[in-house]
Amino acid sequence: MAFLVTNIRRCVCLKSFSTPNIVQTASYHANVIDHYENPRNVGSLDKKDKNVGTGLVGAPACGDVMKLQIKVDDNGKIIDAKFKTFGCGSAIASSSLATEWVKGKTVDEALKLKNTDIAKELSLPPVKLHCSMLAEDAIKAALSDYRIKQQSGEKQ
Amino acid sequence: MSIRSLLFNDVIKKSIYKQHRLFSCWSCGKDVQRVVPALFCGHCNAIQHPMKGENYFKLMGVSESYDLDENVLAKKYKELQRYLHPDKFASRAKQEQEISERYSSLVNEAYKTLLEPLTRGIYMLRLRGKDIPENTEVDQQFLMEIMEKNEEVESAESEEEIMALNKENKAKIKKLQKQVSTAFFEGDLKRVIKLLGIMKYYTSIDNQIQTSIRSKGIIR
Repeated sequence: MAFLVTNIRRCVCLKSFSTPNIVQTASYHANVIDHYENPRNVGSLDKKDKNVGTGLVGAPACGDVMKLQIKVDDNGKIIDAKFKTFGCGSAIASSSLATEWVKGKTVDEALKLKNTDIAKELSLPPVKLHCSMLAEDAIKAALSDYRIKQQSGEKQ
Repeated sequence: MSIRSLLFNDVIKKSIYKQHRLFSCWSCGKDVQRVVPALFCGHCNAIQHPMKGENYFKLMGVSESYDLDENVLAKKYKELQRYLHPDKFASRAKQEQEISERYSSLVNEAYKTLLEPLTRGIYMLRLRGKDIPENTEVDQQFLMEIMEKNEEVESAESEEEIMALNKENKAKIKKLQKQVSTAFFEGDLKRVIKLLGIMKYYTSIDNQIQTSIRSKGIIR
């Protein structure tokens, strides 16, 4: 009978994600689950807007795709960021956190964002580090897309 | 028992007998001879350890090729588990129970890996010392296509929509499977890596489709 009781308790723990003992029972860290269950800034910005930079990246090793967009004001400050990710919990959490972090930063500051910071904040295990790498690459791609748009705008 | 079922049993047994191993039995110490089936000692009938370093194809007793017949694999799997499953060892020695557990779960793992075209390909790639790289994909046109497909699946509401997407996606994976087979045949591992990477994206979409089908309660 004893094994039955422990089984039931485990089921209850797994279902109620908000209880504090989730850190012990689930394989994802609480920060990942928070971003996964309540992702910030999901959505799209107007791709054609010259103040919007779009980064689209993928990971062939895990089949994840990530789109991350930033909107920059005339002072070079990122005023909005949106993402859409199809992938695992860590990839979704990484891109959600990344959009939160770049908001309010300048383009140059955002370039300094490192995947290791994301991984640290979310306590990602080594096998999931590439998910944070994907988020960093998505930001870089979005910033570079924005730069290219601005430069081609100046030439005209 | 009819003649037909006798013949059938004989064929299966022979295919398991094919995996000859020469070593001494851990239980009775006698040499296990060629004619003795691989799974059990011919003298004391004790279950034997799985061979070290044996790849999944050999373990399952199927020929090592990307184009394996999934029906044959399933048949071999069931046959092996009929002999190896821990349930068969409930009244046997503890050590035999442990070996059966280990052997049986190894067979499960091998079966799961070889059954899916993607995991089979990755496994074969690893046998050749290669793997799908962890670098970031930047082919914009391709990624756009994958993103759109994912979004289509996400927004599909009716049974017709999702089943049409399912059919289309399955066909895509099937086509890639043929290309991977050709690439393996030609020994072009670079192409295999590229194709399996693409297949991974479509397999992720497939997972999403299957989840959607289940959550909609569609019975096929």
